[in-house]
Amino acid sequence: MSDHLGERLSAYLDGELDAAALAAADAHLAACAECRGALDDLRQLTQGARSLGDRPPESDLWAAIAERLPGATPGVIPLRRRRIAFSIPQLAAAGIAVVALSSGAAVLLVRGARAPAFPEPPSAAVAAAPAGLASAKGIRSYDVAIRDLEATLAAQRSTLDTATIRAVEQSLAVIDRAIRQAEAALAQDPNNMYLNNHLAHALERKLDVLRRVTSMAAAS
Amino acid sequence: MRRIVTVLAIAVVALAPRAVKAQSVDSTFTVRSGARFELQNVSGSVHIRAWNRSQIRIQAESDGARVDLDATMGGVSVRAIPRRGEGDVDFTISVPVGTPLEVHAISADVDASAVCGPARLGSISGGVTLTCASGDVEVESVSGDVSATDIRDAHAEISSTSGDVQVRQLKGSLSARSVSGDVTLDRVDGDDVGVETVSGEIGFSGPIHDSGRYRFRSHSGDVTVRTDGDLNATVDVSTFSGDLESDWPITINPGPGRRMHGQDWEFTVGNGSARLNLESFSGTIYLRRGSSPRRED
Repeated sequence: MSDHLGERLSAYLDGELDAAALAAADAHLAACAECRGALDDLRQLTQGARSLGDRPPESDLWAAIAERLPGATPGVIPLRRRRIAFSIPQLAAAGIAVVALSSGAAVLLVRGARAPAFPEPPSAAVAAAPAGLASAKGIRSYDVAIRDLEATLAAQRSTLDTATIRAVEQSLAVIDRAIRQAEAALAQDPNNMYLNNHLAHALERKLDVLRRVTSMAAAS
Repeated sequence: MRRIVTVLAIAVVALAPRAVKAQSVDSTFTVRSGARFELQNVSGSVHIRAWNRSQIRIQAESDGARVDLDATMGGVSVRAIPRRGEGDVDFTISVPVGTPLEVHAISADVDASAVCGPARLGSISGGVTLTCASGDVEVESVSGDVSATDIRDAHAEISSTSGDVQVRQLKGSLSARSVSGDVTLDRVDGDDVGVETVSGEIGFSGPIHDSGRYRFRSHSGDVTVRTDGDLNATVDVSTFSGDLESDWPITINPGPGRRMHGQDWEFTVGNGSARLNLESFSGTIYLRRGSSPRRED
């Protein structure tokens, strides 16, 4: 199998490949399940992003977000179209951002830091992630979103009975164990595509559980 | 015309809280075709049945909670409001066939049967059972088991965080999830099926349709996929330390993701038109012929 399409997926989706490159990409996609999956994920991501609309962020919201972005400087936000290409872990992390923003979690970003409901040590993968897969930044994005939802859940604790809190904690522990196992495997084989995807998905799963529990607690 | 009824079931609770267990509500409202039914309960139970009338009937036995009813021709909304954080309410609801349902509960068991319309049912710590639904279907619990049977033309999401998930006789698209529970899908007939659990096991039985997309993912549990008849699928298998057993004769070619530990294979069965993703980090993946949803021992 030749190299994966990588950045060419974005151009493929945008219809910006020339005829020869398009034919080559089609041929590769026909034979490569991973790239087809990545293309599906990218398509869903862009559709999800479109559904958010083009509302400009509130100025105070942006200031809080900017503080959390590595290397970001407050001030004028450049408005120009540019190509964004994703690795698969980046896709997963970006998907989290779409989920978090669309579910109202952006509001949480402007709130001050609060003690997490279920504190955990920093993810080892943040330090260990291979630079080529851009996992560290993606995992930091997860960590930020997870901590915000943990804080929300802590605030909702009084609405949940002890059995439910215990069940949630046990489920989060199960996911944390899966995350640690994926991190350990990834440390042995940093470029393994499956393990990268698996780790990203485990983090996404934790975020999903927190989002669902907080959403149900709020609805009830 | 909107009708609002507030039933106070709290009058003498403070004096003799156990002596006034049975505070009853029994109200019936005429509704137009397609009217919705919504209910919020904290603790107790919710039983919903269909009947052959254009009316919605609410029967409730309250143990100290207030029950608010808000009714129009377009639907009925019911809310149990506990006093001082307490008050079980046991609801028995009758609705016309096809009524869209929306129920949120905290620690109440919820079951709905024979309504056969769209349904969104959730309980945080209670179990949820849905029998006969169609269209958009969402069944969710945090710590309870969830079950959905006879779901037609569905866009269904069935999930529990720590409980088991069971789906039987579903036609349509399905997303089924748990974290620590098992996910069992019996006679699921759809062309877009996604199933995942973290530490639980997955059992699936149903057809794999040409051009369909099927994703089964567990971290430490086994994944068993059983299908009758022809199989025309491109199968992508990913595992770290697990195994693959298949009833189909296959030739596995190591894929580009193979490294010293991880295993990532793709192979084709038949014309390969369906896409079947099977993942288990450390469990065994079984691809079996047959129709039983049972998981491997």
